[in-house]
Amino acid sequence: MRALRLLATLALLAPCAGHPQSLYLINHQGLSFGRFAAGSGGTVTVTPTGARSSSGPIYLLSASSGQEARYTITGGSDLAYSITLPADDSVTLSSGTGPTMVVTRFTSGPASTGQFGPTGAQAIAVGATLNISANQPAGNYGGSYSITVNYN
Amino acid sequence: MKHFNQKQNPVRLLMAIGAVAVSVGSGQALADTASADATASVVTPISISNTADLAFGKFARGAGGSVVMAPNGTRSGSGVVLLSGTPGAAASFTVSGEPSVTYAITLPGTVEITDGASGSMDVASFTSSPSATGTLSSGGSQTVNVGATLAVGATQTAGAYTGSFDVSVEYN
Repeated sequence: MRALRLLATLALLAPCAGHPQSLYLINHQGLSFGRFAAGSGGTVTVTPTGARSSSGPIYLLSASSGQEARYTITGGSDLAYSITLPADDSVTLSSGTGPTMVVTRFTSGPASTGQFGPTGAQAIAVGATLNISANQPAGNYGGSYSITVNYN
Repeated sequence: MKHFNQKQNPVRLLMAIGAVAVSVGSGQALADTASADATASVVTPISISNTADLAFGKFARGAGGSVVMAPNGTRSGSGVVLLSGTPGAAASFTVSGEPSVTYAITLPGTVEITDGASGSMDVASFTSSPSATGTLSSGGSQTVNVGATLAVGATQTAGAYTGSFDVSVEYN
């Protein structure tokens, strides 16, 4: 009987011993590569700080310069967590018709691992590279992707 | 309530609470995933095509001076005698591209026109309408008219002078 009580008590305590607070990740700004003319193809990269650049004969329109994705992560004070970004070529943007564009080289700030401060809340920013084909048809392209955070 | 009088039951109850607590604990989120949108906008490439040439028309050189062709096609002269029968014309271009987007217009500096022999004149001070920045219509086009100033020498040889110039456009 005592052993059973002890087991039950341990069971009650167990959930509290590991991570005291759930991990929550909220996206509040999407990733945008902005507006550009495709020319004969190339790439457009948006960094986690929101800086946009291109390679190849892509013409970037300054009026719509793109933006990084932004998240807020909340969890336990001072705990470390890891960030898992989408794999290359796993995300595509589509206009609904015609050829799609592939997103590669997702990057985040902080990169791969973060650690909460005393408040248990932190901002995560994500950028990536968009691959554009020669004569990519004009249009508005969209898609979605997911990132995952885990306690270390 | 009656069952609590049985001896074994308090332990069972504790165990039940323990089981519930464990299941609540394992439901606690040690990981979370968030989905986000990714977007991009590919615009129609911009292009420009010439639909009318710049012409300063006919004039007598007089003591030399200049002929100004405004983008709206109005010609004026200074030091020269303009012949009204051949009033000249502003150049006209059609710009095509992404609807409702602004673009920059780049005009030449100084261009030389020649009579095919030894005579030449400079064309400079190019102006355009719209000037510097244009905005494509909702249909994705706009007309750009271009004028300039022709410098006429005091001993300018009579003849037909021709040359060419470039106007370029790029998205802002």
